[in-house]
Amino acid sequence: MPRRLVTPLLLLVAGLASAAEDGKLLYEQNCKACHLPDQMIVGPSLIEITKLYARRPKDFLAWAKQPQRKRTGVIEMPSMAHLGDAALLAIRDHMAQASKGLKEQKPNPADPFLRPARRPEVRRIFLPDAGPAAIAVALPGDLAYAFDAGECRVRSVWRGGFLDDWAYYKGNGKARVVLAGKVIWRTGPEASPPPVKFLGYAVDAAGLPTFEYVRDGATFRETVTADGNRLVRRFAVETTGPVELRLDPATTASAGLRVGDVLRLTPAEAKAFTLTVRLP
Amino acid sequence: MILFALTLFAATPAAPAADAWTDAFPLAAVASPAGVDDQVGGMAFLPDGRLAVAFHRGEVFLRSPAGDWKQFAEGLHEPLGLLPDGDGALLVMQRPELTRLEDVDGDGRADRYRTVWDGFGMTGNYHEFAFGPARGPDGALYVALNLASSGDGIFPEIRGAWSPIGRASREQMVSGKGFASKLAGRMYSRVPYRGCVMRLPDGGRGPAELFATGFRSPDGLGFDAQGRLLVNDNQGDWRGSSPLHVVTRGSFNGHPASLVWRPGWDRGDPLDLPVAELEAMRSQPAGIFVHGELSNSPTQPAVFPAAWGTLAGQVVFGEMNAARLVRFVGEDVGGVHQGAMIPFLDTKALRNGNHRLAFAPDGALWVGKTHLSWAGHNGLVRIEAPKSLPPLIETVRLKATGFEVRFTRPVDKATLVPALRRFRYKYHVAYGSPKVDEEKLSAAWSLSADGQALTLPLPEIREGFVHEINLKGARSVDGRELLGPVAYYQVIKTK
Ligand code: HEC
Repeated sequence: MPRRLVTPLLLLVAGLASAAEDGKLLYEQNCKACHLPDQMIVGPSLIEITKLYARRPKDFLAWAKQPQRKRTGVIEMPSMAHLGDAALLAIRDHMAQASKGLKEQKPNPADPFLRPARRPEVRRIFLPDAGPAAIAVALPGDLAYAFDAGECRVRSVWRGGFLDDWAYYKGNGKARVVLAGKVIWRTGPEASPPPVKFLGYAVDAAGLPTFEYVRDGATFRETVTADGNRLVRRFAVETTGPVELRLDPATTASAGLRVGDVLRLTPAEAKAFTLTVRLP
Repeated sequence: MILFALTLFAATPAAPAADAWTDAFPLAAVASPAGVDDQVGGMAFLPDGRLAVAFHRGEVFLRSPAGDWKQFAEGLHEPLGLLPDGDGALLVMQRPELTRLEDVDGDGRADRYRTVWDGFGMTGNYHEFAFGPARGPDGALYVALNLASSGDGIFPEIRGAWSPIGRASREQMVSGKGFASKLAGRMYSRVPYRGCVMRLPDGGRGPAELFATGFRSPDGLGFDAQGRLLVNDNQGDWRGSSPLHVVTRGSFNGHPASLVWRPGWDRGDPLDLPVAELEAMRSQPAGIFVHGELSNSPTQPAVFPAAWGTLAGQVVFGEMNAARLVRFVGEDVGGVHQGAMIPFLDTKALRNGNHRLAFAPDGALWVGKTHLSWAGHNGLVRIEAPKSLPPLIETVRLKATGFEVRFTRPVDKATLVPALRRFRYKYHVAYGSPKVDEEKLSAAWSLSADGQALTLPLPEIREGFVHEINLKGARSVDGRELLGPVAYYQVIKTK
C-alpha cells in the first residue's frame, strides 16, 4: 500500500472514532438523565427516538433545539440549542448506535416508594375537589378526608385506600393525586367565603391532626375522627360574637340553633360542639 | 492496517485519568434514610451538629453526627428550603406556605406545624414552587416564589386574588395547556407575588412585604458574607443564560411577569412594554452562569467557611444539570457588585442534581441532590474541607487596565496560554439566548514573579459583557493541573 494513501485513511478513521466518542460523551452529559437506550423514563427511549428520526436529521435538530409538547403526562424537554448542530448530530448518531438491536422494555410503572398509609396520616398535596393548598388526612379505619387550607374547611370524604400519588410525583406535580377510594361526601366552593386565616395544625401522639384557623374573626380548633359511617368533627372555638356555619343535609350539630341550613352558636356554645356527618 | 487502527481507537480508555478534584477534595456518598425518596429539597445543620433534611415527598429527618437518621416531620408539600429557628424548631418552605415545625412535647418529633406565612397565591400550576427561607442580617426572612409555567393551565379553584392582567382569561387558563401555552406568556404570574422575593420581618412574625420583582424560577437564595441577598434564576424566557442577582429593595430583576405586583402598577400587561423600557428598568446580573459550559440550572448559594483557606467568604452554588458546582467571586466596582463564575468540583464523581448545600461544623460541604423528574440525581454527598488547596483560580479582579487573576498556588509560566473572549446574551421574551457579539480578545499578559498573579491588560472592557478567561492546560510550578481553569467575569461597570 502506498504510504500517502494510508495517512488520509487513518485520519478519517481517527476522525470518526473521535466523533463517536464525542457523541457518546455528549449524550451522557446532556441527554442520558432523561433518555435510556431501551426504556421510556423521563423521555422516550433511544429506540423510539431512532425510529422517529432515522431519516430526518433536520427534524431531529429542530426538535432538540425547540422541543415541542407531544406526549401526555411527561415534562417538557429543555431546549438543547446551546449544543449546536454538529454536537446534536453526533448525539443522534450515538443514539442510533446505542439502541441497535435492543428491544423496548416496558417502562417501570410501579412507585418504588409505595407504602401503605399510616392511619392516621397527614399529607399535603394537590387533591381533587379542593383548592391547591389541600391537606389529605387518612383516619384509622377506611375513611380519609380533604381539608382545604385555603378555605379552612373540610372539602371531601372518601372511603377505601388513601392516595395514589405516583402520577403526581412522576409528572412533577402536573397530575393531581388520584384518591384511592370512593368519594362519599363533598362540598363545592363557597359562594361568598368569609375572611379566613390558616394557622396550621397540631398532631397528637398517634398523628391525628387538629386544624387551627381563624374564620370571620373566631379562632377554630377542629379535630376530625371517624365513627363507623359517621365523620365526627369536634370544634373548640374562641369568639366574642356568635358563630354561623352553613351545614349540608347530612350534617347534624350537637349545639346551637339551626334554621334551614344555617347553624347559629353563641360564644358559650361554640366553646365545645360537634358536627356529625352521616355517610353512605 | 485500518483494522489495527480501529482496534486501537476502540481500546482508548474513555475513563478520565486520575481525578485531581477528588484527590484535593475527597468526596463520598452518605447513606439516606431507608425507604425514603431521597431527593433533597432543603438541608441545614443545627447548632448541635445534627443535619436536618427535607425530602421530596414531605418528610423531614435529622441525622446525628454518628450517622443515625430519625424522622422529625412528614406530610409536607414539596419542601424546597429549610432553616433552623432555635429551640429545635425548623422553618420549612413548602409549596403552600412557610411552616414552623415545633416539637412542643420534646419527644424528638414535630407535633406542631405552625403556619408562618401563606399570604401568597397558588393557581395549582405545577411550576409554582416556593423557595427559601434565607435569614438576612436584618433578622428578616426572605422567600422567593416561582412563576407558573405555560406547560400547563391552572386549577378551577385557586388561592389568592386573580390578576386580570394577561392575554388569557381565567376560564381559558383553567381549560388547560392550549390556551396557557399560546396566551399566557411562557411563564406567568396571575396570583399574588409569583416571581417576587418577599421579606418577612422579625423572623417571620412581622407582616410580609414585597421586596423585589423580576424572577422566573429562583431556586436558590442566600446571603453572602457581607450580607448581600443573592438570588439566582434559571435560563428561559427573559433569561438568556441563568443570572445571579444581588437583590435590593424595590429592584426589578429582569423577568417582567411579576411587575404587576409592584405597588401602584398601572402599565397593563408587562409583556406589552417595549423591551427597551424593561431593559432600562431592570437591575443587571452580578454574574452569569454560562449556559452549556458552566451551569444550566444553578441552585442554592453557600459561603465557604474558614476551613476552606483562602476560599473562605467566597460563594459556591449548586448546579442541577452537570456534575459540578460553581464558585462566584464578586467585588464592588463603581458602586455595584459583580464578578466571576468559576467551575468547581468539576468531576464526574460528584454527579449531577446538586441542589442544596450546607457546610458542617467541621467545614465539610454537604450536597443534597434532586431531580424532580428533570435531569438530576438523588441522595447526599459529603465533600471534605481540603487539607490544603490545590491549584485554583482564587480571585479575578477588574482593574483600570484589564483583569488580574490570582492563583492559590504559583503557576508555571510555560504552561499558561490565556485564551480570552467576550460575549453577551439577548434580553428578550424568547427562551434562552445564543451568545451574541462574540469576540476573541488578546492580551499581552504577564505573570508576577511569585507566579500567583496573572495580569491581562485589555484596551477595552465592555459593560454588559461576559469576559471569559480560559487558562486550560495551566499547571502549578510543582506540575499539578490548574483545576477549574476558566473564569467568566460579568462586567456591569468598568470602573
Ligand atoms: C430533562 C429531561 C430531558 C433531557 C435532558 C433531554 N430530553 Fe429529550 N425528551 C424529554 C421528554 C420529556 C421528551 C418527550 C416530550 C414530549 O413528548 O412532550 C423528550 C423527547 C425527545 C425526542 C423525541 C421527539 C419526538 O418527536 O417525539 C428527541 C429526539 C429528544 N428528546 C432528544 C433529546 C436529545 C438529543 C437530548 C440531549 C441533547 C435530550 N433529548 C435531552 C426530556 C429530556
